[in-house]
Amino acid sequence: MSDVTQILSAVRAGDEAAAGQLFELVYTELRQVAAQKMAGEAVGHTLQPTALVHEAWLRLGADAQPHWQNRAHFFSAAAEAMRRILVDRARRKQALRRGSGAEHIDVNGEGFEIAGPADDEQLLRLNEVLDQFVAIEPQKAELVKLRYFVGLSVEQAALVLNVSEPTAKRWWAYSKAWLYREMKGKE
Amino acid sequence: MTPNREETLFAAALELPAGERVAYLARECGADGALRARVAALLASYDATANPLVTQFQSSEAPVPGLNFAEDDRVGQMLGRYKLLEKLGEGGCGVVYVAEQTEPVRRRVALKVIKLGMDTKQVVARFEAERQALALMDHPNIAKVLDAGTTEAGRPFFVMELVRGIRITDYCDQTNLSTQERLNLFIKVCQAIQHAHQKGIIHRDIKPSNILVTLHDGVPVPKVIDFGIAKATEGRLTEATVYTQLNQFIGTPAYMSPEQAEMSGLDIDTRSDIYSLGVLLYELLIGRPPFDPKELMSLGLDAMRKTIRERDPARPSTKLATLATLEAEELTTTAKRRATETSKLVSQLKGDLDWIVMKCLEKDRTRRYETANGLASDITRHLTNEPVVARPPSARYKLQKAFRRNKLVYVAGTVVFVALMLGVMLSVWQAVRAQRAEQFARQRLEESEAISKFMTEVFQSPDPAKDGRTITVVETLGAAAKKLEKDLESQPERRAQLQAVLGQTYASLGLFAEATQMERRVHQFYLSTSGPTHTNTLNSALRLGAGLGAANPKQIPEGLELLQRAVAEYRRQYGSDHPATLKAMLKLSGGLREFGDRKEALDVGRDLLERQQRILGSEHPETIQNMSNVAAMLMLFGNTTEAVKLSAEALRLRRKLDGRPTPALCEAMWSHSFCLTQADQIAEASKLSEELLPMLREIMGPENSAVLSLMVNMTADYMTLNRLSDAQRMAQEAYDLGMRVQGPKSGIVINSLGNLSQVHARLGHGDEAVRLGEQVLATCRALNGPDGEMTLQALTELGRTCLMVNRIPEAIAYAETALKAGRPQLPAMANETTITMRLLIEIYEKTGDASRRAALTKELDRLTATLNSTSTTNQVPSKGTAAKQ
Repeated sequence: MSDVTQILSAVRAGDEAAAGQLFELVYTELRQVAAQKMAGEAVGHTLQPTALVHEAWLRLGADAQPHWQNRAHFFSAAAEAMRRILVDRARRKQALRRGSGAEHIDVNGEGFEIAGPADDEQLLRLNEVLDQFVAIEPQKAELVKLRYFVGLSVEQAALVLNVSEPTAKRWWAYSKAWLYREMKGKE
Repeated sequence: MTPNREETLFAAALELPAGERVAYLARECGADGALRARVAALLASYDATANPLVTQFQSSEAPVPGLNFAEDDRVGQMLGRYKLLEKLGEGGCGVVYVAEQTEPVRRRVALKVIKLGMDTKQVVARFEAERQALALMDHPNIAKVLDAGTTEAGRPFFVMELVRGIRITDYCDQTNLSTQERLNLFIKVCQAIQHAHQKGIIHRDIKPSNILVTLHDGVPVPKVIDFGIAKATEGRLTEATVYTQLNQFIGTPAYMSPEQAEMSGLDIDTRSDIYSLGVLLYELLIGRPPFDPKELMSLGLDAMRKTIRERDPARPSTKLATLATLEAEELTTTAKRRATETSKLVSQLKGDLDWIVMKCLEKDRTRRYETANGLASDITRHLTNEPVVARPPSARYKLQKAFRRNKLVYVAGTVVFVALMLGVMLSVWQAVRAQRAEQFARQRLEESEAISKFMTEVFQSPDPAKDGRTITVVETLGAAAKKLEKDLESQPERRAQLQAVLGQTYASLGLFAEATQMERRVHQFYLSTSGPTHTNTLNSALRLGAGLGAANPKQIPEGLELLQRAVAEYRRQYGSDHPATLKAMLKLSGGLREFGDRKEALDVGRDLLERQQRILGSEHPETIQNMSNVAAMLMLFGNTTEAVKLSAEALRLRRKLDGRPTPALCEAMWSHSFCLTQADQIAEASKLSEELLPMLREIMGPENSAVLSLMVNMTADYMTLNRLSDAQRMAQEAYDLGMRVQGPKSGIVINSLGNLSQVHARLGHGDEAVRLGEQVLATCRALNGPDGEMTLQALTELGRTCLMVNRIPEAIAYAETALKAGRPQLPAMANETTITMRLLIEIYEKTGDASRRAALTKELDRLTATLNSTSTTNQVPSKGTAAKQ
């Protein structure tokens, strides 16, 4: 757990490999958190991504990070990790549904269900256009991930991205409009 | 990352009300239909209910718990050598803490952490570059910026002198400062900015939140904060970053100069600060800046920049007046904050302050004030009623400055201008209506334009080195008269009309010789063109007739005859009860009262009053005016009771008719107060005068001669009533005003000094009384010679004062001197000499000098006997409104 500080420092220094390490670390942690949480809860209970990220954050000891930028890197990694988890889950669910049409399925066999921010169909389409968006507007795309997958407020996202709140708000307005327009274009 | 066109348009459209978006896009996109469709799709997506990005965040979102991003957890932490003690505030671009510096000295400072994303290294480097210059600033109204550094989170911070104050705008409103107090505070701000400019520092971000007011021993001290920060935090404002930057660094663009809005970033100088100072002044005066910050932000970047660069803001007074109609409620609050009424506030702003502000807000910075000091000086000039430089001086403007001190003249000047312009326009209209023939209309139009040009020339000709007192008005009118004569030779009728206007203006200024000169030309013109019975001829005869006697006593018979003939002609044409005839009779009655047989004046007046009440009704302005006149004449003939009753009735009707202070109401009050004084009802008279004085000040201007006259009258009343402290106060006020307006040698000043001397004598202040009396005497001797009438009066008066304070030898010396100078001048100086003799008899009675007393009594009897045998005394004072003179 103490190595998170090292990894974060390396990311801050621009170490590409460290960024990948960080992602893996956070991704693994998030899944573990989710699994453990679920074990103590009744079936049918869904986990909130935000709570998961927070839990992971504490478990990784990231709140002890002396450098602000470490926090930012952590949340960027967490956003991407959560996106991956949710998208994977949605894909699997869809595949299963096509097969059986069953109502409630343990999608990954790991025994937990995470509250998706939208229905799976939508989530997957959003994921698609988000990839396009990353290519043309990487910072705004980052903002969307922080908001949508981690649940950060605009203010918090602004701090993570190191931009002003009005800027973040404007970016958010544009991004959600752009993404939905493109999603509809694919319908 | 350049904000693309789609994004820019989308953001701008989003700020608009939904109904205006379509039109906006149509306008902005022009022929680019594809672009328009794309942005329209963005707008539709933005709040589409099916948009998952919308639905997810619709409910009030709780921020991620435990993820404490806020900066206020820094309290208690060390930031370099600064310990953060408390959070002071949070603004658009940073958080401010109170911090304690431990070395090299222990002191409290303000520490501002810039919370926005920017290149910290560059910010600090830019600050370092200016640090030397910043260190040179040393001014009580500037909060020093001491240091800059970087937080461990990589944010730049600035350390400055700790100022615990509130925004200047809030301070002014909370303490209900008057406009003048606000200006005085603002001048201090200008001085601070001037100091910085002299050290080569431009603030670049002057706005209310950067000017804090603190109290030092109860005195408000403005402190300008954040010097150097705007420059340090200012990045290269390229098109790519502009949108972000704008929001980050300039919380509101409302204070930004046009050249700053350009965002070239290279071309900012001290005059940008002058612009921002102008915006600040604007807001201090009317409660809001010239451009509404919210509106500006909603325009979108391009339109905002265009607005700041191109739109001329409304003058403060205009804006305030507009607000009045739009938001009646809010305005009263604004005005209440200013502890003054709305209309007053508007009129306070009109003129100087409007121009001063607008000069700051010039788009072209070469037209602004060169320096902050220049701006401050102009405000000072305004406060002391000197001409401001804020607009090119023209005769008309300089005149207006003078008029402000005396509204009668001011009104007259405006009347002339407006009347002449109106005449011009009317003639055009008539021409067009009467003669459809285009050719003719055009010709008339050209003529009218010539007249218009003529008037403009007269009123705007440069005015070399005149101080702008009444004399300048006269000269301007003189120039106008001359020009009229020459330039309008080909249009005699138009010329006559304009000459009549000029004549009335002269008359209203009391310049009757010039007035009658004009009126005579007019009268002759109508006489020769329209004949003796035409209304134009008769009207001009009435005006000429009324003025002639006043212009020159030798012309009294001619004037009265003109009036009589005109009245007779009106009677013949219209009958005795026709309103036009009644109007003519009013003129005749006035003329008779002033210059003719007063008995006849009274008769005409009474006859007229009966007809007026029957035909026009009691509440007609002419009826009321005549009532006052008749009352004054009744008083002259000793019919006190009826006079007081009639003048009281005239006043009552006038109050009802006007319902607010007007010149006519002032006249009615004055007239009634005169009657009351004559009827020995002094207490009531002075009560009325006390009501009249502020009204006169308001209507005629505080320096009008009527105000001075009334003050002198009131002093006399107070003396009679033995209200000595009131008398002293009023005499002192009259003296001060007289000194300012008319100078030390004026009758008012001498009179007031005499009154003051008497008050002191009655209060037993012998030294002061005699000192003032001697001052009066010295002035009279200088003006009037050692034997002049005024000198004799002053000597006698001083003698009486000495007697009163028991300085008998001095009393004898002054009175004997007066007598010695008066005796050789008998019988001319009979009045003065008689008074002196009576005083001496009184003195010798007191000293027990029986022989001198007897000799003087004998001489006095002889003198009285001679005078009675030679004179046909007319006990009636020369004018009905004698009290005014």
